[in-house]
Amino acid sequence: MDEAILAAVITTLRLAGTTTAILFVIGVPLAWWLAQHGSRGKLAIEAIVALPLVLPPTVLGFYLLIVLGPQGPLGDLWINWLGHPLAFTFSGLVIASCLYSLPFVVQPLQAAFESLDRHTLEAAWTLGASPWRAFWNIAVPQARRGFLIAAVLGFAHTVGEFGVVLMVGGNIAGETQVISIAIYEQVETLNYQAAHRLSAAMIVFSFIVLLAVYSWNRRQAGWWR
Amino acid sequence: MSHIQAALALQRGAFELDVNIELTAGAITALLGPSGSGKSTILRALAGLQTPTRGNIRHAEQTWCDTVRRIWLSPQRRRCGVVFQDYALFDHYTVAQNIGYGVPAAQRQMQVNNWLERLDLVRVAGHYPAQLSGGQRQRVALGRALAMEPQLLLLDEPFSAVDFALRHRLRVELRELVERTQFPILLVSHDLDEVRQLAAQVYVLDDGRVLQSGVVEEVFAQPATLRVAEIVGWKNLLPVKHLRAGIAYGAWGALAVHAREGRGGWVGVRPEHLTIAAASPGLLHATLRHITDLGPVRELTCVTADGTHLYVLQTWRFVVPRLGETVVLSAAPEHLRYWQEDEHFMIAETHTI
Repeated sequence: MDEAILAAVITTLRLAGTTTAILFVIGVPLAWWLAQHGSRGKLAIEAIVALPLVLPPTVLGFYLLIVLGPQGPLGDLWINWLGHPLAFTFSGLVIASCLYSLPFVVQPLQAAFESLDRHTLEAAWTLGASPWRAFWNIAVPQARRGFLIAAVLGFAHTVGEFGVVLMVGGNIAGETQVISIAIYEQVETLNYQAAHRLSAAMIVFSFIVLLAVYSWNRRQAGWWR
Repeated sequence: MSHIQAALALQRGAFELDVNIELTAGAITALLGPSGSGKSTILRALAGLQTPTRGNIRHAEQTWCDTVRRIWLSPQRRRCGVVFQDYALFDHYTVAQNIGYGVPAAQRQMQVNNWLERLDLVRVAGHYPAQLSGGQRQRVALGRALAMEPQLLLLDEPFSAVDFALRHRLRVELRELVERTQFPILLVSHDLDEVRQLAAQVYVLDDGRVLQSGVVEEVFAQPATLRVAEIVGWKNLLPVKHLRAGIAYGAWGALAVHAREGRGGWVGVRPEHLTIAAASPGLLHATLRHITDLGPVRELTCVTADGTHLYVLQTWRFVVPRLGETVVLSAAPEHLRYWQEDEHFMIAETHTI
């Protein structure tokens, strides 16, 4: 495996890991709010969260490019603040991935929170537990499968993204070149052997991860029964 | 001695609740009424899980809620032990962890051991709720509520999820457990036996209003209105056309009552106070239609000539007439209640015999 490919693998894992972590910080409170409230504003936010599911990645990528670019509001702010642009950088890629993978983290969490036994939370409150404590030791354990599915889907979906990355990240080796882009480049340059190796590795990696997760999930399902 | 006083008004859609409730320490007060009468809403408001539109709740010198003075104490600060209908146990915690959840860390070990012992749960202390029997789950829920040393204990239909055989034993256990408590206990129920066995005071609720309240025996023996009679298990309620010389007349026959003269209304008698005899001179004739085995007693269903059903409870010693035979029914006048037409104006429409 040459260095460029190794760099692409590392970039991909870094991107997926960072994105999943950030999405948990944003997604858990958002999913909790969506699950607990029934206002009209909720529907609009639910629709916005689900947008990346239906939009072509290029649409999202195009507007992100505008917003993140040096002339864009966020890009401009970033240059003033940190001295370098956002588009075609790893940070820009993380922002794009967070938007792109948002529904894959929020929706399983929201579904898990909605199916919580509300009485157990209320029981915890009457027993003196603060909403925060009740959330951590009553809601989270009940929703743990939702957390697992959200993490796996968020991570896997980020590993598998292509269009948005291409639009806002370009193809800078060691910085923004992820595996999917590297494969695309190998195919473009008719280097089928390298493309094969990478693609096969992706399939094996994804399969092993999913298998591990599913078997863990199955054992988890009944650990207190 | 702590004491709870609550005035609660709440409106949600077409449902309107407006009640005054008083709970005394060391006794069980029951809220009795059909589903949808507002029992659970009152319980939730006392626990702080629901905000009333108007009203106040006072516990001894402390105000838990006052909508005028904008006081609202969170459920965390009220220390109300709640036993939910479905128990709401924490499935991922052991029995011991469930019981200790509401206890400060310093006393946890001691309190948990104490309640495991008292509730006969020592052997299953390390089990998870899914591994327990129905009765054990119920005791864990009770232990969890009691271990935090509550200022008020709220029981929401606590026996509805256990089978009949176990229910009686658990009720006896509960009564022994709460006999020496220093806090008030509220029991929400629609089970008459449960209220009779456990409660000292009762509030009879219907459609968000208190119809009658007082000592359980008195309310059950002297329902103020026809609707209360219906709710507290007076199965025999008969429409009266007129009352003359101490006899109430209806299409079903006649019965001697204490009142002398009166207009139309209703007369009621509990199944255990109706006596049955083989055909002989009498005021109320009926045909014996069914005999239902209720365990310690039998319920006899009799039908009068106009199709009115009457229910009689008899012990096993009583020699029952044969099915299809004509019988005479009677009751001592002191066990009969007579309500004049205008006394039951609020329920006349909903009542059918």
